[in-house]
Amino acid sequence: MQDRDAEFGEFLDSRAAIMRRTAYLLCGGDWHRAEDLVQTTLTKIYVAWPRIRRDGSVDAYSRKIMVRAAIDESRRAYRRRESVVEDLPEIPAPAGTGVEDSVDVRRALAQLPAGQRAVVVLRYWEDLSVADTAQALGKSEGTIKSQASKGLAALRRLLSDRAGDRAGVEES
Amino acid sequence: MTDDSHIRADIKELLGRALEDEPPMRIDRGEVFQQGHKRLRRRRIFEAGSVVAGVVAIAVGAITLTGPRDDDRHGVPAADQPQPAPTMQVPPEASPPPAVEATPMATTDQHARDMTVALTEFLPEEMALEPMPDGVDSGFRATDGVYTLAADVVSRDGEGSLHIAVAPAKADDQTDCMMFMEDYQDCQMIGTGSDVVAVATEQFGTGEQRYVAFVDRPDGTTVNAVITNLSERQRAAGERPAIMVPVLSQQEFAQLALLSGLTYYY
Repeated sequence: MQDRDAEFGEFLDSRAAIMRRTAYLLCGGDWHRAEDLVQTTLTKIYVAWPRIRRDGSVDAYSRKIMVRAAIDESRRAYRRRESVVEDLPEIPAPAGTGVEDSVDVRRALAQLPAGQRAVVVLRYWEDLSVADTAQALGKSEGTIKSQASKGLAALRRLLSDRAGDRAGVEES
Repeated sequence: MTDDSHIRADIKELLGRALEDEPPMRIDRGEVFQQGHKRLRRRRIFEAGSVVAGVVAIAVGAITLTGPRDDDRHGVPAADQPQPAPTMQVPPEASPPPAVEATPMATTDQHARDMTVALTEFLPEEMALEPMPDGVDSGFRATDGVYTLAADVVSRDGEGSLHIAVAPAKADDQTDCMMFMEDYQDCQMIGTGSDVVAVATEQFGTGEQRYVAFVDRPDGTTVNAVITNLSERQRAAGERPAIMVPVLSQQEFAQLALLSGLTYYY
């Protein structure tokens, strides 16, 4: 138990901050929820520690746990809200959205359905391949490509809308 | 840099903007270890080879565990060799503290009876609950804030035993197969939407097979359940299972764990 605690403690100290950032994006921009998510994930990693250390799969395992927990939690808490942007059409990115405010990005992220948000975060923040993202989420590669495309389109549209709203406010 | 990598870099930069004003880390290191130790203890109860007793121990916290040796798991039955049988032993009054604490809540005998009715109505008509050889009643009991049931299940196809613990959900409860990792031949999530149950299978060299179900339900109830293809009556008589699989299918067993009549709160 002492070896496990020492090894795991090193992992926790070195990875917790990085995990919290990913969790924050997965949660759609809530540091408290992100910390709860990381804490839950770390607890599960602790339990499986000997096996995942042996397999050299600590990072893959932790991503899988965290992203699935985030989706489950989001679906429970925000099921109604998520349906709002479920089927946004794919549109090209507007040139230079001009969005400077991180709040806008957070709000846009928060409006994505949890599954799309997870795909966007894993593909573009964690730099995972389509195959690795598919494995982490337990979905097909086709689904990942489709959700990444839809997620990005929705994100761009939401940011574009907010930039438009701001411009309107400034003009008036 | 390709167009694709430019796009990826732009999106990454965009996502990075959301992380501005990052607050100091408030993850409680001690809490992570405490919860990890707790989960590990809980998992080891299952691992001890006495899933049947483990479910009840989690719920009641007053039963010691014995079970098959590790090398009896997942193995080929050894012909004509006496097999150690998993049993439950109720300790004397001065028993050691429970391995996993239960959360004391108000339970009532009436609700326990209602749960028994709900379960009986769910079971196929030809299937009946029978008391175990120790003479314990075959219905639910309200014990230390948890509803538990331990009974033999007899149908025209064969017999087995059924253990259920219905308890209030704790903060770290979650329906997933993680708690079954490494210990079971397989685990699958059965159901759709929020009505999903983790159902694992455990096979022993004696021919005994157990389905173990866990669900943290949206109504705030957790249900732990185990069903086997070996009744406690058979176990006490030193018999082996007469049927290959438990008397309920995994799908039926998952439905059982989701029964609205087995809601903790009332």
